[in-house]
Formats: sequence, C-alpha cells, structure tokens
Amino acid sequence: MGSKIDAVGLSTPGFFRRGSVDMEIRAAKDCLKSAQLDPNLLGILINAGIYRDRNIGEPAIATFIQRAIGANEVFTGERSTFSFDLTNGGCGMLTGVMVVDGFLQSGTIDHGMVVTADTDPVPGESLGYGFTPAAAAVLLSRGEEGCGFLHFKAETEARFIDDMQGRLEWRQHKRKMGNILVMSQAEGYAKECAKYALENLDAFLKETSLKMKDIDLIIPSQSPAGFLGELKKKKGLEEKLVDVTDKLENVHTAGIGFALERAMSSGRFGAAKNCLFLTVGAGITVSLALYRNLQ
Amino acid sequence: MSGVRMWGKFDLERLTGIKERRVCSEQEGSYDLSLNAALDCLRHSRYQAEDLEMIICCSITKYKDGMTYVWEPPFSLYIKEAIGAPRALNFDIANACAGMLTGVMIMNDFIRRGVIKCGMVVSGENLTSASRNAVPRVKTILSGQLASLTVGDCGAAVILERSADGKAKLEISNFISLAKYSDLCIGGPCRNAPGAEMTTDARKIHQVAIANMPSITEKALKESDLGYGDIDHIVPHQTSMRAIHSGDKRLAHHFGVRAKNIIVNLQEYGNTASTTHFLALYRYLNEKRFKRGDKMMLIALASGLTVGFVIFNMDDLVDRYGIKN
Repeated sequence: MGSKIDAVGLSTPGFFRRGSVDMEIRAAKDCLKSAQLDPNLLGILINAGIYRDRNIGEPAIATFIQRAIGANEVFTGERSTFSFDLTNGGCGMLTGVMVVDGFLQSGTIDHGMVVTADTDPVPGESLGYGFTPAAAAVLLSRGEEGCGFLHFKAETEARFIDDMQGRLEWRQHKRKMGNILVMSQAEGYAKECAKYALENLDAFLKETSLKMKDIDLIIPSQSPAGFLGELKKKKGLEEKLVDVTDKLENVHTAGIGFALERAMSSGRFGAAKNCLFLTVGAGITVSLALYRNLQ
Repeated sequence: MSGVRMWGKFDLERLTGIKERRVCSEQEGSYDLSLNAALDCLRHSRYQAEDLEMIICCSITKYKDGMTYVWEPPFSLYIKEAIGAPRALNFDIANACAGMLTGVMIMNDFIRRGVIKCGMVVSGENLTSASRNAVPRVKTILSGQLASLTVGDCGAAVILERSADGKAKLEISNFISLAKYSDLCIGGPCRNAPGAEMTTDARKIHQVAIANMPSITEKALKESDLGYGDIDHIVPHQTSMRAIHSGDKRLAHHFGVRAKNIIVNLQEYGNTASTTHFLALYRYLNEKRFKRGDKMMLIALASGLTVGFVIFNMDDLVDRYGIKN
C-alpha cells in the first residue's frame, strides 16, 4: 500500500507578495482547496525549499506555512500538526514525499503535505543565483493496495560534490560587506547529472523488476538547465518526460511539482499506469520513486 | 560577555544560570563539530560507518570552512563522505532546537517499518557568532538578542538501531508545532557581521511553554501508558535555569508529583540548540549516572513553537561509556 497524491498546488510570484513563504502559502492553500481538505487534518507539513526569504535558519519555514493555512496553530488536545524543514538539494521535494509516505504507512498520520519554494533570498545581494522563483505543494494520503508510491531509491556520487554549490559567504558586494549568497555550477554539471540519473534509472528498473517500456510517464527535475536536454538524448525517453521549461525555465526544488501538475491537467498522469519520479540535486544526488495509478 | 554594555545592574550568570560555555576555534565550524561527534559516536557503538543506512543532519547552523554557511549540497552528504558511509541515505532537516529529536522521530519511523536497520542522527551547532554579534546590541534586559548571549557550541551524534527482539524500545510521542507562535524566535545571517543573529521574545515563549506544557506532557505520557512519576530522568531543552525550574514546578503542580530527576547541564555548556539533549545524555553516561532500565524522557521545546517527547529505557548503552572506556 503506497501513499497517493491527492492534490498539487502551484504558485509563482505575485505583484506584491513575491517572497518564498508567500508563494508557499499560496501553493499550500491552492493544494488544500483542490483536495477540499480541512487544514486541521494535516498531520505533517514539510518545507523542502532551500533558498528562502532573508535566508532564515530558525524557526522551520514550515511553521510559518502551518500558521498561515490555519492547521492546528494551537494545542487543543485533539488533532495536531507537526512542521519541519527538509533539504536535499533538488531532490528535497521527493525526499519529503518519501518521509511523509513513511508516516502514512506507519499510520502515524492520515494526511501530509510537502511544500517547497526557492527565491533569491535578498534580491540584489546574491551572486550567480539563477533559479526561477516558484512554489509547489503536494498533498498525500494513504492509498489502496498496490497503488500510489511503491518504491523509493536515492544514490549519491560525491565525485561531483563541489560541482554545484549554494553558500552564504562573508564578502564584499557592491561596496559593502555582507553575508552574500554565492551560487556556483561547474561546466558539464547538467551532463553529469543526466548521466548519473540514467545509470540509477537502470538500477531502479532492475530493483522494481520493470522494463523501460513499462514506464508510461517520467516526472523529472526541471533543473539544472540543460538536464532535460541531456535526458532526451536517450532513445525512447523524450516522449515519456514531462518538460515545463517551455513556460518556466530552471525551477529548482518545485520543478517536479510543476511537471506533475502539467501531467495531471493534461490527463497524461491519470492515463499512466507506472509513473517514475526522477530528481537530481547537488552532490550529485539522484532520487527516484515509482508511482502506480489504479487502472 | 565582558563587552556587553547595559543600563542598570546586569548579571547574566545569575539571570540564566550559565557559568561557562564551549566555543569553537576559528578554524572549526558546524561541519567539524558534526564530524567529530559522528566519529566519536561510531567508536562507542558496535557499528562501522559502512553499516549505516541513513544519515540525517539536523543542525540549525551549517558552517563549513570557517563561517561559510552551506545550503547546497546537503550537509549530510559531507558527513557521509567524511566518515565513509556509502550505503547511507542522507538528507538534512531543520527544526530549530528540536532538530535532533525531529531527526530521531523520522529515523525511528524508518526503523520501525523495517526500511533500515540502523542510522545516525547528527548535528553540529556553531552558535558563538550569534552571541558575539549580540554583544553590541544588548542594551537592556528586555533586548530581543539577550537569549543569543546564552548559546554555546557543540556537536552531537546518535546511532539508532532496530532492537534485537524487534520490539519497539523508543516511544516517540506528541511532536507538535504550535505555529501561532512561530515568529517568537527568528534567526538568520547577521546583516553586518559574519555569522548569525537571533531575535527572541523569550518572555512570551516562556509564557506559552508554561501554559501548554502540562497538557501536552500529559497527553504524551498517556500515549506511552506512563505516569509522570514513572520517569527516572527528564532531559529538558536547556534554555535558562529559571525557565527549567519554573517548568519543573508547573509540571509538579499539574501531576501532583515531583520529577525524580531533571538533568541540567546548562551551567557548564549553555544552550547548545539542537544538541542539548544528547550532550546531557553523553555527560551523564560518561559519569555513570544512569543504570539499566532507567526510564528516560527527552523533551524538545524549540522555536516554531515545537514540542516533542522521546521516551526510552536505558539499556546496555551504560556499559559503553564512562571511566572504563
């Protein structure tokens, strides 16, 4: 029995409210509205975004979202919501889904949500930040036997640990000193991500006793730039991949949320029996998950 | 602290109960603290690094190579590579001072479901910069950065394993976020100095905690089928002596029984954020102050406002620490 996706919510910067937390709140509310779920029924709320407003480190950003959506903000003695942040580079959202899936499987909670957003933390005070500001939320609950998220896998290849970095450094920027976000990406990083993703895709298929022809749809990371292009070079993969870069380029942790929503609204997701989530992140980390729809 | 210039009489030691703290050298960061704690933890365990199937890094601070804060790649990957744990699934979580106990809660779920057999929860808190940056700003006892003066540096790691008989030995109970109070303590990079700064409404946090802790604790104990008097050692989050004592009094009044033992190491280490509970356990284990079968309760109380309980029976861990080792 795997966890099923109840709804997906998305958000991009508004005219006035452009911060990561604002975007996450809108995505979370959109998600709850689509599923028509009372926020007080959320057992766990995870924020998987990395680049957040003012680089806040404490408290967990998820608690701001919990408060704004009105999910058990105070203790009543009955239901409660637990919020925390989880980061794992571009794989954070899928790792968050894996953690929520676990709590659903063990019966600890009935509903869980993973929300994520990335934005330039202090606009004008970062170097090399190039991700498109966007947020996504996914709502999960326990599914029926043999469907939903059935298998997760994650691998790292630390030869490339320095190839993609996001750091706050104390340095001079525009004639003054500050804690500046410095992003760096090695040339060829996207190509290595694709190569390592494909290697692990093969291993994943073996583990799940599936063949590539059994996979109907692939929901991939939408970053780093060039990653999807590299994946498409593999024969037979292009038609299975969901690519939203035509509308929104280089979305970081929320990328799979946007791809999932595109697949759901076009009917491709519902029509697919076996759907594969394939994410990559700094490290290089590759995370995969198999989602099976009830046919 | 000698640099603090406040109006009126000010005795931080008397106010907080903190007499000394540990401070990182300039070359050390959260990474070094985490790594050293991870290696020390492995030495006290029956595991090799390659046995670990999961590593969760839980620190608020993620400083590496001096005061460079690392957002990506995940900090846990650096630890995984440094100790040599190729099999371990790794990711970072952050939940303020409840970070390590949140990590324990997550890992416990993976172990109980049989997904993994053992893993490590690790944290390294290099908080001195928050303290240093608060010094010129604290002018009165009501300063929002007063709490920053109480923090200390520490690394801690804990290995969790599936029990030999398959029976659950760890009770995880009532992890709750009282998000109405999420803005009472906010920390992030300092605007005009290296490292961090933190603004806290300590008085309000204390009021909310005192008002809510009895009923939340009661629910947690009920879920574990325990009474307050059944707990041999309580390890609260180490904030200030006054807060711990008033919390103790409030719980004693609520349950009608005094706690058998409340472990406080604030005097020697200050508030070491997410590592406080395991630092206290480490010290007591080394001093041989636990015995097998003792019922332990670790209480998380963190910005967010997050509350959580981890309850377990002390086992052969007592034999692996102390003078003999």
